[in-house]
Amino acid sequence: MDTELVIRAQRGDEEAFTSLAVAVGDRLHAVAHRILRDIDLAEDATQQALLSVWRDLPQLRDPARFDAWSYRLLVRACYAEARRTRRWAPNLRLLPADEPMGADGMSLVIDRDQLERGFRRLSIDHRAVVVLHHYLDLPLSEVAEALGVPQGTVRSRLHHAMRGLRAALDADARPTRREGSQ
Amino acid sequence: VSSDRDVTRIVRSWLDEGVNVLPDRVLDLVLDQIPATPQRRAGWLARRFPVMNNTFVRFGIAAAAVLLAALIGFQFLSPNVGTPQPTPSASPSSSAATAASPWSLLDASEDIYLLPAGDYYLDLPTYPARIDFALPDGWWYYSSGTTREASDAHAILVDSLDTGAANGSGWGVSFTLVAEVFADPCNPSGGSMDASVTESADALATAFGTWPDFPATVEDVTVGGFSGTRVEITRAETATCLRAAAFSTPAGYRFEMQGPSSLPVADQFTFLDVDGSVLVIWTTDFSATSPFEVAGGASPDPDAHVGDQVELRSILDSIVITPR
Repeated sequence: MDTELVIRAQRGDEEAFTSLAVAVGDRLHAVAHRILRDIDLAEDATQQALLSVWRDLPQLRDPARFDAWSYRLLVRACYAEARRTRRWAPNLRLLPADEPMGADGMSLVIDRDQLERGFRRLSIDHRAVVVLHHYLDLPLSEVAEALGVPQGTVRSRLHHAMRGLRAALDADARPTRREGSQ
Repeated sequence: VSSDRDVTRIVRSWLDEGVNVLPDRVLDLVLDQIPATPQRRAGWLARRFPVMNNTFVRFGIAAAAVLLAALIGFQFLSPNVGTPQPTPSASPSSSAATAASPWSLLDASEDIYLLPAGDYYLDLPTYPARIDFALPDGWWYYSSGTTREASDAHAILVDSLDTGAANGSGWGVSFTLVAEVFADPCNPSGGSMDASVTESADALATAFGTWPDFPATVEDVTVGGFSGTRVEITRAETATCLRAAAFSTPAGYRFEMQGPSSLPVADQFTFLDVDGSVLVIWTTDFSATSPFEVAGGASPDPDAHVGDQVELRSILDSIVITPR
């Protein structure tokens, strides 16, 4: 990130912030969508995160750390969205409809479905670690900085999350209780 | 899946799919708000703490902070307001009362989905008592309203993935309160019964038994050491509405009953007189796929919740109610 742009926006330069928002908006939105698994929630979370960036920018001590700091604000916004929109039905299931089949064909579709289920069972904490590490390719130290937690906590969450996702994938290989009883 | 590397590869590939562009309208909404959104200045810390270079002053502030924390702790560490550490046990115990560190439902804010098995409690000033209970694995937490603290309809629900419902299960147990009982559940906007029906468990049970289209059976029960009345409500074919609301809570949440179904379904409302108020425990102790789940795409199955019923009853058995 252009630290000069960050510094100008910190000083209240709205034009600089506009450039900053354009530069980071797509990435924040992509991360929010992958954490929340819902396009509307992701848009709301990104919007809130960008407003928080503007509001709290003067409190960012090191402009060079803008990226990690913005991810932290985004994850907070994801928490808020997830809580605000919690419904009587807290475990929505998203089917992989209309998505193109990959090289592995049907098995990939099944993987997606299973991953979607497994991922939705994870807390926002765990989802954020998976997305920041495996989607953004951030090393664990930077994930820890972004989330404001110790690196050991990140490692633990990642282990737990990946174990859950593996279990979801493995579940596909055996019949469910209902399928088995029919 | 053969190895961790395979899992990582699949997860990474899956994460690569999805939206990557923020719609212009969202960006425009943000930028439109910027002129009216003041920035928070960082000068607060800079102005307040240059004195921290002085060791004595720093020690004095630290000591004052410790003293203040101790005073606050003394003030608020009553049984009703304390905040136990979120350390749910790995497996549910038979009695929540004997658990050393039950987990406040309100502290489960980071885990909005699956609740770990363990001992939990709900303790809010709007409720007449603290409620402790033990949860097995695989249950989920829901609360109505915008914040958990302001909610008066807290529910523990089973996982809808077991039944294939895309909209959630709506099957479980809820702790709630009654403000108004609707005169006609099919027409909640049409008016409420007299306020006196909310004054006792017996009065509520009687009121719930007066709806012609929603037959009720009543039995005396004891839950958490408190005796009360449980009313089971079914739906007669004469009920024409799809959605029927029984009552509203003080926070304004409308509590709906089961919709039309070809399977035997029912709502149970347990009313307990606790310290001059009535605590309501709603349950869905029936084995069939609920109408809510069927509406969400689940296949009707008369035995869908047989296993869940066993767990639900164990949760009810574990309840301990502690009035303030």
